[in-house]
Amino acid sequence: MLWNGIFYVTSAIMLISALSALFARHAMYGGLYLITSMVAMAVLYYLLGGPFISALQVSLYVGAVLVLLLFMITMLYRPAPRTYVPRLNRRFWWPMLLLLVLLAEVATLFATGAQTTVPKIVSIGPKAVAEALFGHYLLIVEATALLLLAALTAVLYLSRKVEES
Amino acid sequence: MAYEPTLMTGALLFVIGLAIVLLRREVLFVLMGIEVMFNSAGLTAAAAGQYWQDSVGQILVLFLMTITGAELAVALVLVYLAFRRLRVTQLAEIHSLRDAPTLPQELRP
Repeated sequence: MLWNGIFYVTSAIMLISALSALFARHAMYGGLYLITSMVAMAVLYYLLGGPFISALQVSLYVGAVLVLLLFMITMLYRPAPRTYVPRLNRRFWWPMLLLLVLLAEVATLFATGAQTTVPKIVSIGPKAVAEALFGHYLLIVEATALLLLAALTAVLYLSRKVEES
Repeated sequence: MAYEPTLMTGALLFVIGLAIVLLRREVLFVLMGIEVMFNSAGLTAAAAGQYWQDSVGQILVLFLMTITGAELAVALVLVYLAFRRLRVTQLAEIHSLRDAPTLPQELRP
């Protein structure tokens, strides 16, 4: 089936590029792998019937948030590029053990569960999202606006201190 | 559409993000790992919204994007301050909250 094929290929691209960010040499390469992963995620959102959040993922997430991250990487520092070689000491094995336990939990969870299928993908457009957003969830929108204002104030204050010192 | 593969993809992406957070030492990579984990949560929410054929999942993803933007802006300024004042980029080297020699004049004791 076409849907399944596109879904699995996009998921593979997303997971492989996220895994490449783990082994990236420089922070800029990591950021570019992250952007690839997020664009693949936008395709997945579209496949899951959300064209509005798919567009927002590209324009808002990749276009604003991750570009901010890339700006900060270019501004910040230029250390010697070095390959990430995990040192096999205690600080590597304990997190690795925790990750493997988590992975085993995920595997058992999905190996034993029953298969459920959604018969038909329904595209939920911007109109339905906006009606719920500005109707039922209006209070949370206001709270988020307040949070963004607080973040703006904090960033302005901290960057002013940078200029003074 | 089978429901389990979408959840499985989200869970695998979460594990990868957690691996980036736990195994890399640079502050910027830790932030990237947090982004990956946020996105895996978003994928799960979108899949659940399609499972219930409701717009709630998309609304959760939208709020997730907004909160991530706010979080990343503040975190990046803190990383920048740590680099400017302490000249460190590794997470383990940021261990002092107080950096007395570089405080501005009016804040010095």
